[in-house]
Amino acid sequence: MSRMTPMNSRMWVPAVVAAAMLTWPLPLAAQDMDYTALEKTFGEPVTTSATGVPQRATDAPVDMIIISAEDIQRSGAHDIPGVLRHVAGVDVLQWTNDDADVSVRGYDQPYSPRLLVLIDGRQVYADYYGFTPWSALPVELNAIRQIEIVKGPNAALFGFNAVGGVINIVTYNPLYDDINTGSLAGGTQGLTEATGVATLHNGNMAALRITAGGRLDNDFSTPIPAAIAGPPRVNDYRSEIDLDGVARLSDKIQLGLEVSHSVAAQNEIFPGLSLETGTFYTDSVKGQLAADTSAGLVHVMAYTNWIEQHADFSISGQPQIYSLANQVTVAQAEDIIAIGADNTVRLAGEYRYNSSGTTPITDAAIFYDVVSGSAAWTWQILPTLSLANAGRIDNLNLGRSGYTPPFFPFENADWNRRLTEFSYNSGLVWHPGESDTLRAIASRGVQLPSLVEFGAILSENPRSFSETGNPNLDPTIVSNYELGWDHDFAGAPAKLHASIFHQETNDIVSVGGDYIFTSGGVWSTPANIGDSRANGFELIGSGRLDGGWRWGVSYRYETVHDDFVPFAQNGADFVDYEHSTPHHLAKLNLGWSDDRWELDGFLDYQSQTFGLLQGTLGPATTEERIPDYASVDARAAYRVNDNMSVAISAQNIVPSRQQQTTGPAVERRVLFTVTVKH
Amino acid sequence: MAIVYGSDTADAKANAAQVASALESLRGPDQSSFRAVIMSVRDLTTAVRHLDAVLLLAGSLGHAAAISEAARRLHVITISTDPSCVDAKCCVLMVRSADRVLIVLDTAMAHSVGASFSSVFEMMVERR
Repeated sequence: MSRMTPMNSRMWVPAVVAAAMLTWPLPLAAQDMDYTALEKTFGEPVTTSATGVPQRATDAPVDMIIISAEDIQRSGAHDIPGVLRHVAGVDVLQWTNDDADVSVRGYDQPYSPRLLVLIDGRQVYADYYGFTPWSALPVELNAIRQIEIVKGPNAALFGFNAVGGVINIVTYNPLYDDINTGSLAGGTQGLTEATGVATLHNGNMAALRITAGGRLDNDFSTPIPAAIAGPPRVNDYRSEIDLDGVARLSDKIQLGLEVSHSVAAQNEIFPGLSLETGTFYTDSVKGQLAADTSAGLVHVMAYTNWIEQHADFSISGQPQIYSLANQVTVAQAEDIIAIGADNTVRLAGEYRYNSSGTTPITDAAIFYDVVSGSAAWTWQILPTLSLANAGRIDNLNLGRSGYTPPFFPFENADWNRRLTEFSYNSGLVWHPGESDTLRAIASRGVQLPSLVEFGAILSENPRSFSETGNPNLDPTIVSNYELGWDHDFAGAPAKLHASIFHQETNDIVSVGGDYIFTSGGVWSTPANIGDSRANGFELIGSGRLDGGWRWGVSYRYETVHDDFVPFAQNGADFVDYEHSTPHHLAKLNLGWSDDRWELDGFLDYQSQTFGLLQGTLGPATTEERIPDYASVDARAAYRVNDNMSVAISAQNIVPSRQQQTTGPAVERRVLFTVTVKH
Repeated sequence: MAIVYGSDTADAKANAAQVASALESLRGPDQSSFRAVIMSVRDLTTAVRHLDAVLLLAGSLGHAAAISEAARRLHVITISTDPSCVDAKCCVLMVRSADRVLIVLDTAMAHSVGASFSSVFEMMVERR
């Protein structure tokens, strides 16, 4: 008989945790599940961001990367784009010290509209302009449990704008995760930052997490290219507070309530490709109820987001101030039902109301409501083979009310449009052996024109051109087809991921794609300018070595071909994906740790691209070459004791100034952080 | 939690004691721990005490019918790492941790012992 060694005894851990689930009941619904306990049980991250159904990451029928809290800490970053820049296949345009745009698999641009971002299932992507104001998100890095990145469309679950990818930021659940931490940071560019997370419990029946943070810093001091020059740079700042409470009404029912507020000001590049000062004010209220019933997992959620943006910029040297106020209200209900041993079905409905006033001419509003229905079916065909199909129909009613200027090319009735759009996600997942997972994925998502593109910006300038949106825009459709392979080298330990993808984008919108001539002057409007398609592959490897070493490497090759109308070709009209998406994107990280020290280094390489600048004569925009570059980041941390650690991290270490966009060159940033945990 | 061994040999009992010791040293959510008792299949079939779970060690599956009957009588879930326990219909959960963790839930067996799991857990395991 074999002797039970310590290694053998550890093989019983999952059995113990499984048994523990009887004593400590699992959370009851998808967004409220106990990620920590489930991850320990299955030995891998878990998610609901693929189909809405609770799943192990290796079972998810999408191409997904999950960034852990440990990964976030070791990145050395002080904001979410700084974390994401080291993630395989993710593109980050660092325009200014606090302004970055993020996309997945290329197609990045100012106010990147193709990536839907959510915090715990609440959309923080700003519909009014179709982008994510990262600095204004009411979340701190040390409150994040994991960041889930879905590559390609996932609109069948999340709806409009989940086209290039989805990022769902999952925070710690106060009912299950007792997080109490604070940090102070200081660094170059005059950075001062303080963050704190505290969790309060009322037995195991209710809990409240309070997250707050504030940051002051200066922008880069590198020269501003003349073509994007705007008002003088201002100092950046942000502050936020988030209260997230959960109450257990019974063994099978949980009630959640969350409120947040944030303020952020930053120098940024906006879609018109000029530097502006953006000041954001956001508020949100969210309530949700989750119940484990005989009819399935029922989850009801409703929230309202308010966001105001004041943009100071200049046109032809004349200062301008645009103020946009957007409100979105969403109500969702879903039921997830396990049918027999092999089938799981998710049925969901959603109502959404979205509105924005016009600016700088006020007294008008653009709005729409959306009624959606969706269904997802996961069929476990064999123990090693599953097929997931999800579909969603969104029915949108667009409208406009209020003032129309003289000689305006439209009347309010032109906005009385109904759009019905279909999205789907389909994924076949096969585990041919213990160490391999194969995926075949097809998906279709719908990117809705923003409220600005529909008409929230309204300006009159008889001497040059006036601006308005366009009620006749078609949504952009993104279709993705992909094959993926995951392999675990059990003895190493190391993992390999390989994928090949083909993506088609139809009816792309340009912010300045059309001109309408009226007797009162010329009106510039957005327009659909054509299609684009991309082909590429990704290779991702990661692993650990003896002696506390860990490593990761990724490479993406991608080619994009744009097929635009003649006047918009080669970057002449604010959009150029073919030349702005790098062919080669490679990332490398190497880390080492022991009981006290953590050392991590990152090397990110991007091949030559072309960015856009405003044109002076002729076309609206022109291309400018951005040479290939490699940037180096690093972090060193020392654990003083169980409750305190110190870290020094740096981004863009060499060279100290580097051209990464058509905006100002980025500067080296160094950050010193003291973190206290209780 | 009962650690059940199959044969009444000294080696089997010693092995069970070692497993029990290892289990008691583990910490679950909120630093919780288990109290493990070791018993033979014969002890299990005559047990009257309350048990939260039964962990079946190698060799015990030869007594599948007796274990299944005891589980129903005691209303206790049985856990094994031996995949054949599912076909033998004596384990509610089969847990295998080598390489990719596999958890198989015998829903009929769970029903017969009166065990219920959260829907989240049921959706993430292989249901039989």
